[in-house]
Amino acid sequence: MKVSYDFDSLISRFKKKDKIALAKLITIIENEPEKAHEVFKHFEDVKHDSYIIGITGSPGVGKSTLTGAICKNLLDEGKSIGIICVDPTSPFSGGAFLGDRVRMTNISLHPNVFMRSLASRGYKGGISRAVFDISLLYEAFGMDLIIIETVGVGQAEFDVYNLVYTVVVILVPGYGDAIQMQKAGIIEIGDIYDINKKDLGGEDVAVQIEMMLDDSTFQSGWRPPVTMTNAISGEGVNDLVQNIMDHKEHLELSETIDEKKKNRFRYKIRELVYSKIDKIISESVLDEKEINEIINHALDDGKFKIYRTIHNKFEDVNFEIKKR
Amino acid sequence: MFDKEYLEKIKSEKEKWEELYKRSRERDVKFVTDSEIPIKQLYTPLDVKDKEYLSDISFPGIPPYTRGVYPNMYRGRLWTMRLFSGHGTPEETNKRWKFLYENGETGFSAAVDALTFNGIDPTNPDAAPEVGTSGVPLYCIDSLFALTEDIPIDKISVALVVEPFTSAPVCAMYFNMAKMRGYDISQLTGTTQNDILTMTVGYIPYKNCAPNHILRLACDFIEWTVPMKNVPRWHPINFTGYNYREGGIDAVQELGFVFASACSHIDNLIERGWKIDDFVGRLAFHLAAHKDFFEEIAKFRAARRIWYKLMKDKYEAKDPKNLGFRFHVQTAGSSLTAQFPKVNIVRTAIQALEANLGGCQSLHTNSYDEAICLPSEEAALIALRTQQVISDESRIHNTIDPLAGSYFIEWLTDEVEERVWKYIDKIQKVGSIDKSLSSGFLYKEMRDAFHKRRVKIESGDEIMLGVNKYSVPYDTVTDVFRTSKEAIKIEVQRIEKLKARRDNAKLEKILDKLRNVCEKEENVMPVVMEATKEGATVGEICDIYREIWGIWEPPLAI
Amino acid sequence: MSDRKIRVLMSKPGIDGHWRGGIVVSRAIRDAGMELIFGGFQNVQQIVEAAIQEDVDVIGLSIHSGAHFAYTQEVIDLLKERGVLDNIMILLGGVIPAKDFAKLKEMGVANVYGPGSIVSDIVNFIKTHIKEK
Repeated sequence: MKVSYDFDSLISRFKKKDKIALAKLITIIENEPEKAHEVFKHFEDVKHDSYIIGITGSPGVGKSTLTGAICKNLLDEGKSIGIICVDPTSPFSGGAFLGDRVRMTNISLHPNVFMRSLASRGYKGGISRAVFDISLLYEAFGMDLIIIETVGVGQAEFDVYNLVYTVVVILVPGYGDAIQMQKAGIIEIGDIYDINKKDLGGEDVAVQIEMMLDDSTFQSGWRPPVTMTNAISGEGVNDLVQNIMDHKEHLELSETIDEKKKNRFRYKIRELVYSKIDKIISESVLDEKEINEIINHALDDGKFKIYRTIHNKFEDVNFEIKKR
Repeated sequence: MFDKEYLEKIKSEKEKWEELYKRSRERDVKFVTDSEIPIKQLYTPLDVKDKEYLSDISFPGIPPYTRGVYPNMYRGRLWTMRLFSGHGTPEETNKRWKFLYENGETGFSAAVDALTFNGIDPTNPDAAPEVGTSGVPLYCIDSLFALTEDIPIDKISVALVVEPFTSAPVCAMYFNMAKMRGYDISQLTGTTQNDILTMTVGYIPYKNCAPNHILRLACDFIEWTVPMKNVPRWHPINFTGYNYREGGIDAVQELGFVFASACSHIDNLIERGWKIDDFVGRLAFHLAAHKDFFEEIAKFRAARRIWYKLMKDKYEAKDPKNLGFRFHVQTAGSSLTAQFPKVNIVRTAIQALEANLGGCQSLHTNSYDEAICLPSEEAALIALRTQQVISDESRIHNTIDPLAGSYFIEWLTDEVEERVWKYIDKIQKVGSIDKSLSSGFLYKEMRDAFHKRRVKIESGDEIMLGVNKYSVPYDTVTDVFRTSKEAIKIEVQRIEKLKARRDNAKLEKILDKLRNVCEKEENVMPVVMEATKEGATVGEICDIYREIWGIWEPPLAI
Repeated sequence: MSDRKIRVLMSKPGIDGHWRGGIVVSRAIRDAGMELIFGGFQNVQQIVEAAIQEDVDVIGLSIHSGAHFAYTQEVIDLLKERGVLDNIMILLGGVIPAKDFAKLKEMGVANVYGPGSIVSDIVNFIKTHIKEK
């Protein structure tokens, strides 16, 4: 009863904007990353850039509802949007509860929107390894905008920062004081700050963010605006969307956008390269079993020997690169 | 209550008995109540030695009301036999109601369908398949006429089990219908459940509004009916713990939830400027009668004492008529099985007995096919006869509160009361009832309770005959009662006819007024009365709420 | 090397809000190492669109309204129309009379779970019957 999808037919259907094909290719890329180059070689003649927005914040701030409200606004303007929502994989079971889609039911049937829920699958930083790949696939598909929604707050958030052009940080009233925010590293990564659930208050949070910003310096002269929204009633969403578009315009006019794009590619290329190296080393120098032996030895009063052991392992190896 | 010297004697004799007991067997079972109160092998005067009969137990109809809320209880009047019922169309439900009335039912209770519950019209294609499948559709005033055709609503009390989101439109339709029939609504008796907790946890509402708006609607309805004297004999609210028990919480939590909810509503009304005695006498409760026989009885008795103390100490109610805890009971649906369903008749009978021995004012007994489908006529009749066997054949009501004085019962009543006070504190620390909802606190309590119970059942710690002991497959023999497939068509046509004859321009103006009222802090009822009289449907009223207040998404507690 | 996880959509067609069962099963599915996409209240079109975009292996329909035949048939018809029926397992849970199980299975439902079903049975059924694509 299982129908296996012919790869070539998937590619041709994808090019005809078939969402089923997009979904299937996402599955392939997420589960078999080694096949990614086979997929993307078919799009080497595609000349399209999407504008990429990251929406981030702690669980419970209303990110998904807000993402849905932002999308509705943009869809009404005729934009096409590819959404990626990432939720954490349970470190105990390896499974995940992906609960973002449920907050966006009202836009789910719009022909110009596609949404995929991803589990982090052990990847750090609040995102998953597949996020870049899928956003690239969305670009090949021709989406005007890509929105990446992730959970998390803190240093780890630097990861989503690398994959998008505009970062929107969502907070809620009662979030905590400025010192906490600074410690969490939030201030450095946001291009826009939004305080959701404004019906519960939030002016004090806004003030604190503004105070923090007063003490910061800004690259390229963009001082992050602070907005307040109620995602459920829609209040403030227009202003938030306007701020996002303003930031986009700012990046494009100041030509900083190219730096962001380069950053995104650098991040992925590094990851691909490291992944290859990791594989080669693991196959020819030091595999998981050997590493475990060294660890066990370290446990057994051998911890000061770690440096010498690894150093020697590599000294004992002759690297020869033969190009075919 | 006992002589000190004699107590010493009992104590030493008891120690001798305990020696005997130690040498005898004890079954390898956990002797605890459902809420995990540990229960000793024996209770004696020693366990109640500090109790004062007059101040702790007293007499029925006298503070602290432990023994009952009226001086004469069932010696004067039996509880109302009120079966929760509704299906298909108002006409079909009317037939079933008449059938039950002819067979001795003494009160009516309308179980509404999911569309009525959520304020959605059958013209919505996403909801249409569910018209009449889980209750009676009451979408417009014509439906209320059909439901009550030839039913003496001035003589028998009617309970409309709708919650705050739709209590205004549905009850307004009912009151308008009654007026048009020539009844004086200031004399009508009945109940609206109007319970904020029912529609927010365990049962997740579809496209409703945030809890603070729901609380406002609930209090608007209470205010308009009772202290504003429009329908002063009506019970505008039943604080309902039943649905929470169905979700897995225990008896202690049940009382905690309903009392915390009651306090929030009372506080809201007092903030509006009313005095406690203006309205509190008509506030009532709806509790479950669950599996643990004695704990449930103790729970009912403890509830009366707790409410009295809240009324006297916290709110300083003066009118003695307002100090009594009055409640309706439903036997526990979650205790019934789809495996070997006839056993459900026994379960329901035992639970009905609990309700009576606990002194309830009104009782619904479940039908045995409840776990499979809506009640068939025969199953509903058996449920009614269950109550009548107790009232007419068992003679347990020859005397009032027969279990009083039992060392075990009095001890357990105290124990439950003490635990409930602690739990009320825990909930109130989170804030008023709508805050405990919007913060997710109640959802977490529900989720944890349900998880705990599920683990108990799957491990066999809690026994469900037919499911985890003597397990058998699902029953396929019992007839499945199916609601009419024609209901969708009938109800859509009913609304179309109504829309054709009503003055749409006039209604539009009234609905605009409603928009206005929603934005302010005015009571919605007067406008809703006007709107439903002019033919507004339940969906049209609720769409205005949605438009003004936005659609709330309940927190997901996984 | 495949990092493939089984993906399950949990959905309630219609508006009846009895969600306890659906939420408990969702949790169990996550705890069993699968990825559970929570759809919540969805109409038939939204269910199918979600199943397609999320490329799920299983659709779980939670139905307590008595309207199980109507909804199930609509979901199956639409999945077929979109050409994705063959690769998706459909499971039903809720207040569904045992008498109706056989007909539902004929319609294309893989299994039906009535009240009191053991959650681990559902999880095991999925794991046994979903093979590597």
